[in-house]
Amino acid sequence: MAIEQTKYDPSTHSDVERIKVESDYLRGTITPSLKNPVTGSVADDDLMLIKFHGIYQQDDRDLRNERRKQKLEPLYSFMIRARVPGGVATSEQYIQMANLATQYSSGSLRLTTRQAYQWHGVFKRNLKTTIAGINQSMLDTIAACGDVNRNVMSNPLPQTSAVHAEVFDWAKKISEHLLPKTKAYHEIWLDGEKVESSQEPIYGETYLPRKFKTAIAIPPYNDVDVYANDLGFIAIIEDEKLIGFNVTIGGGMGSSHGDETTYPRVADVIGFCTLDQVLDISENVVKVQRDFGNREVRKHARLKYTVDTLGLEGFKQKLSAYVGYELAEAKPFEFVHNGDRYGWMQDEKGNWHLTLYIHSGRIVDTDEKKLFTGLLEIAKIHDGQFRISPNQNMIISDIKPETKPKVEALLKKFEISIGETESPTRLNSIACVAFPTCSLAMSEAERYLPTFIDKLEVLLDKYSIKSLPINVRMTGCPNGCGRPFLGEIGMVGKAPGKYNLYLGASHTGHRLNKLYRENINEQQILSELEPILKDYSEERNQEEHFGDFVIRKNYVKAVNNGLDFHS
Amino acid sequence: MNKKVDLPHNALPLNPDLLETVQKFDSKELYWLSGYCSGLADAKHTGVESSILPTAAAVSQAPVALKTVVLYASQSGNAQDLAELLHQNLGQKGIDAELASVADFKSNKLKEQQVILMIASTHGEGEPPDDAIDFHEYVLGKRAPKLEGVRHAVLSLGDSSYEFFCQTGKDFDQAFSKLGSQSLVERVDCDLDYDAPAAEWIAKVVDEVALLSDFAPTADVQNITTANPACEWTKANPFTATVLENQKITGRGSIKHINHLELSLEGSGINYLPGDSLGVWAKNNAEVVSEILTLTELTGDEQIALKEGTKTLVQALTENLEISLVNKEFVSQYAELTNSDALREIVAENYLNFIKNNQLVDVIRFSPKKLEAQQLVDLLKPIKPRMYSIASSLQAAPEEVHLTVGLQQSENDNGTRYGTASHFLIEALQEDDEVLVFVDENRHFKLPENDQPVIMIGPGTGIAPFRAFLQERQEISSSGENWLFFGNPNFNTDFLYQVELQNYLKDGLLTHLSVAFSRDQSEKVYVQHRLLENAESLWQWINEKQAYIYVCGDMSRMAKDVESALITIAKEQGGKSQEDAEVFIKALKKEKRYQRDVY
Repeated sequence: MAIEQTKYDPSTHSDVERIKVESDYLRGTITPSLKNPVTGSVADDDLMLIKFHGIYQQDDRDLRNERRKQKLEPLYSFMIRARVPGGVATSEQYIQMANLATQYSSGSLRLTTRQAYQWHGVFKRNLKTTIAGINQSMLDTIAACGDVNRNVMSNPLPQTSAVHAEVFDWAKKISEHLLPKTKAYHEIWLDGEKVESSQEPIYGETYLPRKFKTAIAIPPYNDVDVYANDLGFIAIIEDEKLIGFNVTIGGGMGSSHGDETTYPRVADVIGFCTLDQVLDISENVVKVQRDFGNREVRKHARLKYTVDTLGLEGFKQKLSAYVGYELAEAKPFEFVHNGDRYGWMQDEKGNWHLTLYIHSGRIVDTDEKKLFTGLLEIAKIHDGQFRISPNQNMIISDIKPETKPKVEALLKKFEISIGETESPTRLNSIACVAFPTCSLAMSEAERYLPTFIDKLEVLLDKYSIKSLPINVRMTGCPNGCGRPFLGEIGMVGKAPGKYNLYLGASHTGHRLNKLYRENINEQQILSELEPILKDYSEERNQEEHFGDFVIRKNYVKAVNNGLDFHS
Repeated sequence: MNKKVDLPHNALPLNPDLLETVQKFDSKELYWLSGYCSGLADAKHTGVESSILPTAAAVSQAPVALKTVVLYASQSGNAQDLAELLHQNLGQKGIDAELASVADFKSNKLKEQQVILMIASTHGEGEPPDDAIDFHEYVLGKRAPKLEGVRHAVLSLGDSSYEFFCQTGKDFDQAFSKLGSQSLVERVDCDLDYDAPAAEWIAKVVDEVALLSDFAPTADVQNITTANPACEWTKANPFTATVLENQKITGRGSIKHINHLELSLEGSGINYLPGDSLGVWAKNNAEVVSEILTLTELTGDEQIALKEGTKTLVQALTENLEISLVNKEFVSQYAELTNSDALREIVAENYLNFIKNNQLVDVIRFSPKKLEAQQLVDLLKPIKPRMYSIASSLQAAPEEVHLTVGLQQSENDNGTRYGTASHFLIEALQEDDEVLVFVDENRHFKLPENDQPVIMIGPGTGIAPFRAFLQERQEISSSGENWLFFGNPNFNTDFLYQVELQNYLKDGLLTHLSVAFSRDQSEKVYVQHRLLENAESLWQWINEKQAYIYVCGDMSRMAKDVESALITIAKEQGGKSQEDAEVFIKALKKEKRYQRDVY
């Protein structure tokens, strides 16, 4: 079959497609935008293009109204996201990133649910210096956002599997293989020489119709939430050797309120690939999406809709035609859970690994604890790695036995928790950034989740179920950062103080939750949850998770397929 | 009563009841009715069945332009799409309407409209879309114009899962009605599936507007030019203006406190031109008044004599006497009165240094003494009005005057001392409060008579007259080019009138906007640096385009640095010697091509 790459069609394609085509491989007018001294923002078309460079423009929404009255434009700033395959950075890199945060951003680092680092609140005048600084630490921000394959996730804990290092290598290889080839990034941010328009052998000049997310899971852990990704690989290990991966396609969280043609979807396993097929399969799933994805309506552009439009079989046939062979049948595997394991762990070599609970992934100094300073001090004495978990926690890994007491002393000094005192439900909670910087947020998430958990814990305590882990996910909008539709309890913002309440995702991340109540406030959420929690405390089966319980007891119907999400 | 469907089509024209009814109509309604009747007659004449209401197509005469605007308040673009559709459908009927986002629509144009068609979405808990907040506030606020004789129709978009469903649309509809407008088509509140009801509403609106246009009298939009009575308001006889708005315009965390004030001159007939100043009779700070009373052991209730008559001491100290600025005579007299060697020494040796940071009350604090009320009063000079460069054009803001006021403050041993007028204007005045003002003409700071290019250099509050210049040039559609240089400490918080200036750039009114934010980088950058960076183009503007140069703001440093930058540019770009360059700049002053309002 001859591959016909999609050509831009101005009569039907969305305006974002025009922006991509006219951008000369992601250059646009970013450079003049950065130099324009009259506004802290970039030109409209560049808003889309800077995402491909790992940057989002935001503004402080708390100040929007006040500044409008002051005849000042919104307080624009930028979020920069570093692409860190598998979430692994050295101590040296960590120090550099923390220093950039102190100098140019709001003084905090944010770990994302996709194992990336984020700086928030960088003003336009400091953008170039900050990005140059990130590159000096041998990390970059290319394709951390935008309509391309983004940061490739993989399980962060080396000691969980003998094949961990090998799998992590695959994450890096896939990430690099699918990286855009344009030289625009170097020209704009690193004063690289201007070169003639570059080619994009994989993407072409319009890149992908929408963002594209890839993750690799190593059973029995599904901490990467592989089913929430466009493309997923599940490591298949035989006799302690990595023999290949099961391939999943079509996962994704985003949806729009009130629009039933949009829905979250868990991925389907479509077969097994051997190691020598991994890059080929990755490249060609991307190409099928490139050529068959919807470029007319952006909210229907993710791979999950392409899969449902072509049909799973239809998609598999296209993929076979693109690669020239059929995938082998999927191999059996089993996931146990998708959370993190907190605290200290020792590997067979005798080195220590410490998983720290980081609320909403925000590394910041507060009155209670000096997390930002503490981690920076640890980085200075620790000759190993910092690994971000897909649940936004930090794993300090490869701590030598002789370093362990020093690390413990620093943890104590800066009052940093290692997850011993928090309830499992708090440890299993995720929130997106939301207010004040995210332009999409309709309600609070990160700033409010701890308060909500406090109140939820009162109920858990009351019904003696505080020791049981329940996944709570809270987001300010339905676009899916924070994977709200995989929460056993999911709250998705509708308006300030109001959320849609979702119940019934599985604890392992293979089943979505379902809308239980719409547009309710804290009081209502708690009083809706209380009888169910009471019921759970009295009627649950042995080892039955909350998400499974609410299905069995018919509070909501199971959503095993994205198309069932609204029905 | 004036809705067309209410009219009895088959009624006898001479029915006395009908005549009586007709006589109750206002002129607008009568105009409409006359058009309607003549159209109806035409329609009958051409054989159209009388029981059918005439439509645009059935009438031979071309539709008369009713000033119609299609406004939208859109969050996600849906309201905009519908507004565009409505605008297009109106166009197909030959109705020429203006289409605008409320974000771009100048609110003072609202009162010129005869038909207002509004499509508004609601977001969050009943809030208007972000860029519609200003207009929403305006229409619902006390500055909204009367809309008598206007017809309006509103389509609201919303989501019924929210408590305040379609609230923004409801707000606009009710506000228009309250302002005197009459509903043309009943408001429709659409839920998420808005396609069908919106289409129905649009069709209805188009029909109604078409009908209205056919029979309306020629739209004769009058430019209201009120006769200008000779202005009787003077320094001695100031006008009592009302505060419409008093808004801090430096952002959170700014090291400067600058307010934008809008005062109403309604009914005064006051005229001014951009470049003029406003004299403000400030009241003294109540805290300083009581500080003086305490130090001199007076109550304030004492009766004292002034030229103006007898008053209580506290009244005189508040309204009539200068109690902040120090003069040497006062210090000498007070030194003698209280027999203070320390004050005598200050007068003799350290006076200039002393007055930098000290006010009159600090002098008293040096040597506090129980005084007679009249004794104190006789030591003090009458208060003088303070002058502020006017920041508005009457063309753009009829019957209003705007000021840009920076709070003057300094620290000394006794605490924080404030400038009298800036403290009064910023801290004491609230909306609806009154303030005594008069216009102080400034003939030496005026826009060129023709459309010559202007270079405006106004850092800090020095931007005030240039806001007036720009408003004026926009309102009179001047083709002159405009180049503004502005500076302040920080971009994030101190970019005065940022959004307005951005819009002027977008519109093309501002040709260039060069900004200098001194504290955003390690080296300090000021407007004079921006002048030098742009030396070549500036020289072209000055030398070839015969541009006018204006400087407003700080006299002691900025104005000097700017002048030497101009001399440098004349030297380097014009190939002049230092002396020739100075002569050149002097000549510009003489030709009135270099004007300054510095203080």
